Amino acid sequence: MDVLDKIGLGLSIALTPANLLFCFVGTVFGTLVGVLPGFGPVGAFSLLLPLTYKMEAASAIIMLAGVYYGAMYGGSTTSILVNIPGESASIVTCLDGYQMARQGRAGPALGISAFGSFIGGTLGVVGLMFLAPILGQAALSFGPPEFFALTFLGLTLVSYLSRGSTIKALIMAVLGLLAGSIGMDPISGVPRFTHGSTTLMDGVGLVPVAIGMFGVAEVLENIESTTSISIFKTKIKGLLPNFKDWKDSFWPILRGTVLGFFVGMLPGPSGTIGSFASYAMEKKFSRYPEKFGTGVIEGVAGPETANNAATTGAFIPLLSLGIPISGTTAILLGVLMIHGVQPGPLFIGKYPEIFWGVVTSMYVGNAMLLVLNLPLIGIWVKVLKIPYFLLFPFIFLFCLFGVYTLNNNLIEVFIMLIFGIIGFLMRKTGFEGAPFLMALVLGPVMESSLRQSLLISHGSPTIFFTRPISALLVIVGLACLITSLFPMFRRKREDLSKKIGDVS
Amino acid sequence: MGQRQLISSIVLLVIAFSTFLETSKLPIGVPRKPQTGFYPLILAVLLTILSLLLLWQAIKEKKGKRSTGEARWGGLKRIGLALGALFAFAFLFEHLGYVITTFLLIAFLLRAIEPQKWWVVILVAFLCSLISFLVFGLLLNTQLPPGILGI
Repeated sequence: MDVLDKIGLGLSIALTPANLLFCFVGTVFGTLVGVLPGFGPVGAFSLLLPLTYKMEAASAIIMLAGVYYGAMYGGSTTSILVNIPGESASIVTCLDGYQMARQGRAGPALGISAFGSFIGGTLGVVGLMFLAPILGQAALSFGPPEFFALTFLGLTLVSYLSRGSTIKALIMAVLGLLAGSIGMDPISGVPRFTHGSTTLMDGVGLVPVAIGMFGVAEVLENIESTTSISIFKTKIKGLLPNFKDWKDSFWPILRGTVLGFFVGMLPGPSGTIGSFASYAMEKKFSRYPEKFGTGVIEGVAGPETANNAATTGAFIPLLSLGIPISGTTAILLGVLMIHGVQPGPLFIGKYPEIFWGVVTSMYVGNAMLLVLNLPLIGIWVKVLKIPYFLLFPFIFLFCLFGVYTLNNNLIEVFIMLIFGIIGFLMRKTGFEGAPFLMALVLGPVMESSLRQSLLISHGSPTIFFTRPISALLVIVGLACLITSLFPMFRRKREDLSKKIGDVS
Repeated sequence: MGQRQLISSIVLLVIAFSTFLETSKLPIGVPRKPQTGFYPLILAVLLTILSLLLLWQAIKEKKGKRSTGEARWGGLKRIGLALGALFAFAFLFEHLGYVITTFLLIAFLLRAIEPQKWWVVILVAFLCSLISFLVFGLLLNTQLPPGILGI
């Protein structure tokens, strides 16, 4: 099957009326979530999860992927108009976007961020289309040592790139691995740490943990201190950027696409890192770097393009290797597994309709976002005025409902609530949820690959260093660990992570 | 963050210790033939080392200047009320049924967290339980506990 046939297959799935509707719901809901500060894509997933249980796997991912990249579109609106980033990936957009709004150029700022997001998202999909099958093909030759090395690198990188203390992030990763070891031993089938609970025999569910740690904890944090938002009063006119705006934004958009796409494949808050890296790069390339922060369009175009390109890049490790690289992609993996689909090297060959259906739906979704968002900006601004006391009871209800309807099991609801409390306390003490969630998903893969590798090598850990791919991955992982634990390197890293801010 | 880091590291050490205890009940094996307890044992060792590093950092920080940027603990009452309502929902859900527990949850949250007028509370709670029941229970045919209303 050549590429055109595959795209044809994808379009035949993405363009069915039902999938068009799911894509539409996902992108619009994602934008709404992006607009609302303090409510991220993971929280949004929890609201839509009950809808996905009865859908086909492809439709479920089409909708949730729409939420993911839709949130990146929406995040920029609040950055530009309110100086409050809807998403952490839009923090940097505040710098020049808000200044542009103050100068009466809110329209072109919103316009170029929508066009940039569209171009970054669509070109990113082209990259995904070509790179994911190649990587999936290469991963077919991976043995247990390579898979162990890959999971090890994923977890060390997500800890290295996280906000604040690496030790805390590593602790979260280890706790996540421990939580992942609850249930039946993946090799011998012996129950472990279950204390006789039949619910725990299948392990700690990803959905209750994710919804608790991100959905419930996020709302608890928000109701702790209720603040009102003041919107900068400006007339939004002329959303279409003029010729000069396009000329200034052309290269930032192209550079943002390439940079964001490749950064997107890295574990951690790739959208956030991509947007910061793009801003730094544009400042470096600019003939007037001193003007950055005063309302230059390049400071909006580059980062907004990069964060959308990063969302498509993030799908590559998920779909071709079965490795989620963030909390958001970990939930997508969980949704696929609920539908009995196991992502990994065999995924694209085994489920071409899901892969190509999702990929082509991203073109459709990005186009929908562009067409819908420019005229809807006025509505998104009004959405910001909805008081939080009206929103949070519904979010709680959907969290409870989403987890209960998964297996009609109340114990999972209690697990969610307990993880909600844990997640809230973690936020208060500077621990992050993303490494925990990733480790929970990767734990069983890591354990079986470690034990199989040791069986192959008769107990010698040198097996991870004698095979070139695993050696490379382990060495990079170890380098991250060492540099983040030594004070000299740690200070530099912490300075950088402070700039990056919150983890997506 | 020093005080909280100290407490966090002690809690983590307790978790690590409990993991050691639990793992000791499982067969560990040897690196050549690892058994069920082998992997959790490695994790328990790693958790102990990292918790001790955190404890060391906390002690060092306590001796030095108190760091700024402490997160606020305000609004604890609101959080307590919200959590109480969520747990009550979970306990009552299968007994009272979806419609009644949803109505009670939404009404309580609207009234207790940031008090609204009674008519707003009742109207929003009623509409929310009715619409969500129609969408999920009837339209999407999701299995919901009927409870005392029998629907």
